[in-house]
Amino acid sequence: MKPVSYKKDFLVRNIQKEFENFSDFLSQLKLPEGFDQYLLYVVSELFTNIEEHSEAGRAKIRMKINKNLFLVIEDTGIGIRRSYLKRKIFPKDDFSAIDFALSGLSAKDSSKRGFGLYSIQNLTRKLDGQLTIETGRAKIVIQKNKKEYQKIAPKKGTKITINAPIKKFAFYKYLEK
Amino acid sequence: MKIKFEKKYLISRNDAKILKEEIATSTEKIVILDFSNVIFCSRSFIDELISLIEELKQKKISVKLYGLNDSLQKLFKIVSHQRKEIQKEIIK
Repeated sequence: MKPVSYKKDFLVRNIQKEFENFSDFLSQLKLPEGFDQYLLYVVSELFTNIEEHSEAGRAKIRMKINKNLFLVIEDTGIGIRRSYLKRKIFPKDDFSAIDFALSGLSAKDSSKRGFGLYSIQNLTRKLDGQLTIETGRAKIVIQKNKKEYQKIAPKKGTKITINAPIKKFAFYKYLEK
Repeated sequence: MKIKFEKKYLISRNDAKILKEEIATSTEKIVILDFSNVIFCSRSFIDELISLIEELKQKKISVKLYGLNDSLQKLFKIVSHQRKEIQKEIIK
């Protein structure tokens, strides 16, 4: 596949329009069956998280595609932990906050499931990809069944990075699980 | 009452909430939602829409979905199934 890249810095209030731009760009690429759905799903989930939880004014998306996908979506908002705290859910630190999100605990309603990062983690694992989440002072890198916890310099907002091989993918089968 | 979505992509819960306001102004008992322009819906939008459909069902208003492409049909089934599983977890 011919290498392509996509980069946008945008206002969160224009996130719907930005998703349309991204989707139109994606539709011009000939990605393998199921992989295109995976990518659209991941970006829609992360954009929704930014819109619903981050309180950020701006966000960024960067994507590089060759044999692999390299995708970064970041915002300058309140971060995952503060988003939980605002809803009376109390992760003890930024690592716990990420783990809460990865376990599917909703930051909107504690009686609901939060499928965003939970499902992205599962799908990216099935693709043999790597998912990295950075927020506050925490960075967690997930690859296969390994999770690495790293302390970082304080970071405003949340940054999600995905590295994954581009291949045919049974997206709906794995989303269902 | 027939409502046709003009957007190609529905990713925000607000899109479903706006719909709720629109339906609230009607007295009709059947609402047809036309998705023939829609390429993609986010899981959040679908989740919100299913909540709305359940709410309307309580008020004896029936909602029919029209023009869903194959991908959207699959996504609706998955989200609907996941919601039922969560309900089971809460009941336990």
